[in-house]
Amino acid sequence: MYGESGYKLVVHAKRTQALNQLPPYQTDIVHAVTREVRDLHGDIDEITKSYDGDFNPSEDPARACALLVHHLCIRRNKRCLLAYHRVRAEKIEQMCWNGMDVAEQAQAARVTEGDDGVAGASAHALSPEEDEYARQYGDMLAAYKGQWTDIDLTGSLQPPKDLFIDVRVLKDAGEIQTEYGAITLSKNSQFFVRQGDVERLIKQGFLQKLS
Amino acid sequence: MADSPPIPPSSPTTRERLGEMTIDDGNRSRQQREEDEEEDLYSSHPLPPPRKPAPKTAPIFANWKRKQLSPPPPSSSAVDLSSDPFHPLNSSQFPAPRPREAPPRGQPTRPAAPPRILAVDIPPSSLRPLAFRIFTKKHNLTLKSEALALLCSFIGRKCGADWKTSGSAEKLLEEVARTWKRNEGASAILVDGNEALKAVIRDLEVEGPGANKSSLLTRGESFDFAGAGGMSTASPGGDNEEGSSQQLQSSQMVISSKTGPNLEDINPRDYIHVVDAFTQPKYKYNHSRKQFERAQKPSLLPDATSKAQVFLTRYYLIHHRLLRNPSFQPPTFAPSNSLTSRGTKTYFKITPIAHLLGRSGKPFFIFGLLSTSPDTGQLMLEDPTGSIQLDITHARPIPEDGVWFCPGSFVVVDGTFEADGRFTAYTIGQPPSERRETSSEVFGHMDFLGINMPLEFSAGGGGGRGLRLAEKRLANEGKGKVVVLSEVHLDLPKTHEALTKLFEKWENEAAGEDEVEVPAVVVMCGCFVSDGFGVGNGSLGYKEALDTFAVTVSAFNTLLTKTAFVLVPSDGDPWGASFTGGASGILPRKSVPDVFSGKLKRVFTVANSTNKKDGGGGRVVLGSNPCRVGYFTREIVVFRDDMGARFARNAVRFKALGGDDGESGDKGKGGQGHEMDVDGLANGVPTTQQEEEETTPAQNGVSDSVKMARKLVKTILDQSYLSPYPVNIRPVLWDYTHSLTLFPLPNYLILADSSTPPFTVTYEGCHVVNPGAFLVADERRKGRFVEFVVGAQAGAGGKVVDFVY
Repeated sequence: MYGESGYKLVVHAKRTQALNQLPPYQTDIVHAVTREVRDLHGDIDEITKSYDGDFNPSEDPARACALLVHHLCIRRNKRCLLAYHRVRAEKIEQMCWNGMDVAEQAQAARVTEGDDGVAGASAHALSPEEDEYARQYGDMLAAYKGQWTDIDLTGSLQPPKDLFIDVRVLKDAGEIQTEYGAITLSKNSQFFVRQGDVERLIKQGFLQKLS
Repeated sequence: MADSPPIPPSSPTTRERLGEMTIDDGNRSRQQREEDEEEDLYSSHPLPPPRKPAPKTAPIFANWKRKQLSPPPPSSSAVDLSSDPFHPLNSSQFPAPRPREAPPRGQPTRPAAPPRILAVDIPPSSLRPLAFRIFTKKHNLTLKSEALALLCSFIGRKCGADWKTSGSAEKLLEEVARTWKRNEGASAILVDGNEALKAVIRDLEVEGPGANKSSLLTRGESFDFAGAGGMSTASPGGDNEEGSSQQLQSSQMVISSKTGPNLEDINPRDYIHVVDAFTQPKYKYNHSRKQFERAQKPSLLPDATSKAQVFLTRYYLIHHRLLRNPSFQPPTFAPSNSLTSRGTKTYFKITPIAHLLGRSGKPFFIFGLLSTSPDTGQLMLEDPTGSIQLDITHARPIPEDGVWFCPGSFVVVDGTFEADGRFTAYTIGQPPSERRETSSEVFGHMDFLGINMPLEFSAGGGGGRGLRLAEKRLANEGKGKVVVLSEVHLDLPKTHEALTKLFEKWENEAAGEDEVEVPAVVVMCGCFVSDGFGVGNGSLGYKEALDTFAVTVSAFNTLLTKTAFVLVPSDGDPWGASFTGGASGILPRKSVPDVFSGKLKRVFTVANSTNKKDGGGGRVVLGSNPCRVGYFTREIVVFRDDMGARFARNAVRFKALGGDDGESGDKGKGGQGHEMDVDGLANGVPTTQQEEEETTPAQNGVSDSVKMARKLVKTILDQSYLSPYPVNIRPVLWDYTHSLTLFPLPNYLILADSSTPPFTVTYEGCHVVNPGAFLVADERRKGRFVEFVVGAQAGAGGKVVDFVY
């Protein structure tokens, strides 16, 4: 059916909006839509070919209608594609602002992925172009942040209650550097550290904040 | 002070020593500014990952061995004479004649005396705040202690005493962080001091004179707001602002200016990268995502799954390539439209073998690996879902006598599934190949060679425009010529006579008023001794042969300084031949060992160090078999193997055609959409095996040798693999098969095959050349080689040249 796969994309986009995580990129559907556009375009070319440029719609309303339907289908497919990609792009940008989510997701997925790569589809939510986009957006964000490193622009908006917090180490990470010194993170140990130093590590899942 | 030992990692140093000074800082910033301007002219698109030129340092620091995956930096000679007295790892690894102090080559605009930065020790504690700010706050990375120690010594070396005040340390750290993120992907948030970080640092180290140049054409500056105002510390000269504002204009400039980059500044030899099969980056193909992914470092002794992976990867690559072919794509919607003819379009549906079960008597199209059954010896077809016995008594190959079908290759079979479980084949075809441009639409972002040259650059991607322009203009000037010699038996005096004659001709042409460029690359394929390396003639004779070549070539100074000689071993070269005795060894095979080439390399080193004005680039590279040469955006694959004979020995034979050949027709799509053109050799060069006319496959009136060449070329390129045989015929290193794949198709395939007459054939945009033996066997004093100009408009496919010596 005309526009059927385009509709699927839109449904995916709608679903994406409600999700916390980014579902895998629908390469196949996107390809199907673009191929449909190409086919429709071929049809239009074929219909108009015989008229050699001087087609009068009022003389042949049937063909005019066919052309119009084809054209509208192409336009609709295009809108579906744009909508889908815009939703995803916005989602990616939002993730970049939130900090670690893009990376975290990839990492979480890697754990579930077996050696055989069967779970590969779920492991890589981003298409290569989106990867590139996320990376460059991250770069841009970093450059933007670069001017005010004292303020954490991507940090939490909740004001901290204490400057120092208790954290428990969830994963071994070895000796890591913070702003004022090195701490050795070995699993299950507990620290009393400056919150600003470890905020990243908490987000990355190395530490757990104890309340 | 300058040669103080490096800081041992993780050993705390006491005080930063402030005695050392950066010499000539003003000079440096001016140079930097020039650099920026130059870059602005050429840079176009911010894709791929832009990389800022690292702060300039004296070249003494810049000649580091590039990271494992990459070829040596273009401007340094391939001879590893670049040792660094400051680096504990490198200096112990490489023979170290002396540090090179050559001024940046090929860049006459540079000030004559490069600034020199003396290394300082930076204690981790003083770098920590800065590093924390950049890595953690800006880039969300977490630094480990070893990493910080590494960075300290790196910054100390690169930025000198005023690392804090000049702002260069900040930029450098920024660059490290960015490169790390790009190399390691988003998931590597813990920056530890292991190989990966060392590789990043090494990579930035070599961004000296040469590497910067190669980045000039490709990369724009990244978004660097920090350059505009973020430097809280004083940045001398304030050239960052200039740089970034020019950056904004540069993209339009590149588009509007038709003149392109200034060719005087481009040394084409800087863009020659020889990629060894063992250092070529490995990507594994994720079939469910239909994308390549960075794979783990391959191992020589992998586990058993990687053997299966070899075939699975090939299967999925070809399968998905088939699905991209329009003949295999289902129509997008039902053919209800009476106004158009699309409704009649048919397509081919490939059925997995497991889906045949219970559907006997019906026709199917199946695709899989042709193999012989281990118990019955019958022909089988295998795909990931299962295998099935093939009955080829009635089968016709498509095209008729146009390709080899060999167990170990992938084929498309059209036939009927019989009730007894066999599959009666009617036609058997090769999976159609795909042009490089088409592949680049899907995998354009991939940099298969690891030389920062994504595939899309070679096929119309915006980022490669400057490069392609430069390449084309250089080709029009006759630069970028590649000469291929095969079977160069260096132990025979007459080989040296022929070589001398050839080299003299090139030198004279270069010295003459036309100033014809000497070849940029000379590929010499083995076997380098006439009767093979082995028990009878051991290392001494072999070394003598290569040493004699060193003597021969040492008389030609222009060649020594301008030409890259690539030596590709055959089955008869050490060390492989010492235990196979010249029989087909394991692919890919290592290069000729360094023990044999000491003198040869020295000849090049000496010539290049005494002759600095030429811009360097002359070198000898011992390549593996196969190896790849990246030249601007082009990819050249060099492979030395007698494939023709091996196909003839192992191919499946079909029943001879009983008079009528219209029967098979175009039933299968395997043979459709291919045209093969033997490039015309219009310039009157005497050739033996070439035809002038453009023909379609396997027409009458084409000589047997041309047919044979086409048959070979079509088979290999359709298989997109350099060893489409069973592993017992041609063993391969399972984990290194990525170096054997021809997907995407290279621009040039040098197939040195002494069992097939010399040819130049172009198929699906890929030029395949076979030089045959260097000394023509039956004729006295006659030599033969193939030459082509990379990127040339006319005669791009190359030509076979005979000469008398």
